[in-house]
Amino acid sequence: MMKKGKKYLAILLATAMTAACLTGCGGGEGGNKKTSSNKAGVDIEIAVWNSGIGIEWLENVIAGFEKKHPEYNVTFSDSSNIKTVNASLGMADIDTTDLYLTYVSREYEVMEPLDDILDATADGDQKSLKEKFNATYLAGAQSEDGHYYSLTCGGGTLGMVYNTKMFEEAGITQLPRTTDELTLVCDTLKSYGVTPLCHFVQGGYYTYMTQVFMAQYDGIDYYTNNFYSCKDEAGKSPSKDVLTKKDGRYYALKAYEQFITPEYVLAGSNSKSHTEIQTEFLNDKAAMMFNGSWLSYEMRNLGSSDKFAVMQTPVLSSIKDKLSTVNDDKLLRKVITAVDQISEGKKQLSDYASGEDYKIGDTVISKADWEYVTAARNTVASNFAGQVSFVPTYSNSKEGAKEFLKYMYSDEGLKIYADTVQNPMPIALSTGETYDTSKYSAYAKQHFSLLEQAENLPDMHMNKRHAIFNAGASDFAEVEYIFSFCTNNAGEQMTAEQAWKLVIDKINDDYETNWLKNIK
Amino acid sequence: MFKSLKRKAPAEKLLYCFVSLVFLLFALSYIYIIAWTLMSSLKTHTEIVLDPFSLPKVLNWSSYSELPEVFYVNNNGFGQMLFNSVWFSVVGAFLQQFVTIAFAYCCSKYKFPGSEWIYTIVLIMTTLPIYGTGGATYRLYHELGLINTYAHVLASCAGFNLHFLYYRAYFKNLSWTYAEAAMMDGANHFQIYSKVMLPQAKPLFFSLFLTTWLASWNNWSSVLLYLPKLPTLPVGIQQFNVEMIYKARLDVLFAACMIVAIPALVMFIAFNKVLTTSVSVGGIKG
Repeated sequence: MMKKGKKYLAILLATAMTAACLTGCGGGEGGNKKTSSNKAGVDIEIAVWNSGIGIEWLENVIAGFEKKHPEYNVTFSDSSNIKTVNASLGMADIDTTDLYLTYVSREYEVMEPLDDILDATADGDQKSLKEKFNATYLAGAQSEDGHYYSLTCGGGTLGMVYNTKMFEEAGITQLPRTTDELTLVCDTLKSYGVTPLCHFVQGGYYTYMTQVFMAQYDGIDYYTNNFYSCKDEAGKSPSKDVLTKKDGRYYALKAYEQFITPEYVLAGSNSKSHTEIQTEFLNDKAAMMFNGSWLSYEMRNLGSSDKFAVMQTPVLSSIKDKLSTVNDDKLLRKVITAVDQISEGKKQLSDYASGEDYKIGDTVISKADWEYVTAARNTVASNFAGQVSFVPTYSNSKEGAKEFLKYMYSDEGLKIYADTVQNPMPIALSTGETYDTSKYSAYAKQHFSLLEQAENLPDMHMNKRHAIFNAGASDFAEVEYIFSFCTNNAGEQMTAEQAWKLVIDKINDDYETNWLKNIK
Repeated sequence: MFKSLKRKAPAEKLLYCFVSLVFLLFALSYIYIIAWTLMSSLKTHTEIVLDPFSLPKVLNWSSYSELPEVFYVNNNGFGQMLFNSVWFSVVGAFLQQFVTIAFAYCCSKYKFPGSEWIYTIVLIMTTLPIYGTGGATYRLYHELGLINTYAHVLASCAGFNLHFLYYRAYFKNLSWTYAEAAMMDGANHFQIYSKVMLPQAKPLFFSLFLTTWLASWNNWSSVLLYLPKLPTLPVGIQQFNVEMIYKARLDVLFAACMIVAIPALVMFIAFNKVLTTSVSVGGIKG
């Protein structure tokens, strides 16, 4: 009896296996995403990081390129694991890749300069690529030797994504403009029975919010040319004093301490994966999540994202320390509202002018303060530097790879990219026209507005970073501040003061003994 | 079984029941994992995340039907990975056993300079951890052009492995009189091996082939090292787990896990006697 039962079970499972094999061997182009036309011509091999924006855009760009340049034959391999994509980078004898579209930082020795691509004007364009690029990005992309080795080919803008339905039900009509106001909103949501915030494993995208806070507090110039250049005011670089200075990082911690708390953050945020927590967020488990333009594309399997919208990163309330005529948060919010109205075209700057200064109601705001708040408000979180294109020096088809890049960054290629991803790169069209956003989702349109509003994109400092940041140093010396603020484990929970002390202690411990020694 | 239990002392009965209970729980823990994976594969991604232990509201077969479209890793689709798995596990296991048994037979039945040394060399080699040999092995495969190619299956022909010891011990204990009888009937050395000795070692060959196949089917570490562009299904699952970051298809991941588990389950259920009776506590019985 037992023997027969086993036999039947084995037959049943074997049948299931055969059916599964047939399922697996069945049609569907998705099984092999590699484009290969098997035609004669110059081969270009691309290795691409399959990030949140997917690879559909690349397939479309390749199709456009091969139509225009039949002499080339483009193939690509992709992975969502950056380590897999970059596994062979630098191994000239086994790496056959001609073009990388991935995340890599400062690997200049294996990167071909792309200056000629920037100086060239693509077929059908009216301007060179250099003229089309966002100036802030380009300044950040230039290396110390003056060359450009990599250019953005992915990423997007980030902001506080929120559930409009939950906000509406909780009666919140004013989006938070400052971090103090964000705390008040969290309180309102909490009292309404809604969990205000969520993130994934140890903070998720809050790193990008911190960059914004740092740039808002210290100013984008200090942030780029001092902090990330690790250069003190006397010009000494690297300088330990820069890393230990109580700057925007400290005030970011003070702000997080208010709203990243166990009471406001969804339980499990510290341990759940990116996919798990985003699924929970899209299913109304929390009202806000700091996230990017790619969210709707990345989670497209989970249906409509119509109930979600994105707000600009609130301004760090502590910037009041830097202002002489704006001393309380309520006034700061009023100034921000005025700045927003100007950005949206609802008002003119002249509407607030009062001699050399500006006026809101009866309150005079100095010109310097107004400009400081404007710069802070128009600092947008982005990660365009998080996926870049570059040609390895040992490529067998350098010219082909560069020709492909020229097409990818031409108006035609940029439009293909923007239409597929619903989020353009920080590159303008040479004709002066704007990207066609008519087919974008409401969420994508909001991110496009963020990009248009952006005066400062702090993520784009990548190539301004001092080599010490590749030798172990980091903004917070690897102290997990978000994790520490909202953990329920009393032994691991920290205040901003404790977290800052830990950061300083770690800098003091590691600066000379490790980081300086590790600089290549 | 229960009759014999009746004759046991109460303390023995109690011990027997306790041990049985422990084994039962152990078995259930394995069945639970398979059942949970099957259940998860029939739920939607959202259901898995929001309530991992609930039953599926509606059976979601799309995780299986969409598998070929969604489940791809490094340009290899599900069908391709299945082929890679079958190629490297079946052909690889067969080649390994075929070469090893012939090698062991020669070393145990024929005297030639260094034949005893080979035994010592194999013994030493089996004790070397992969951390000690990995670099040199990779270099060797690279020089031979066996990285990322289907010809990598030839690497299984080395013969210097643990199974050599089993086969050698088996043939050492097998009387040479069989060969002498065959010689008197006019058989040559190859005929003695293929028609007299090898058939007697069939049960051992088959059980070692099965264990090698099972190990190769589930193996992902060496495939990840030597065949990153030709992933097998276990590697595919490991990689897809990473790809999941941007795909939100946990249902497909579990469906793939189920499909990978089925062949191993089928083979174990069909041949569990061969596997469990040929391999005793002290080694291979043959």
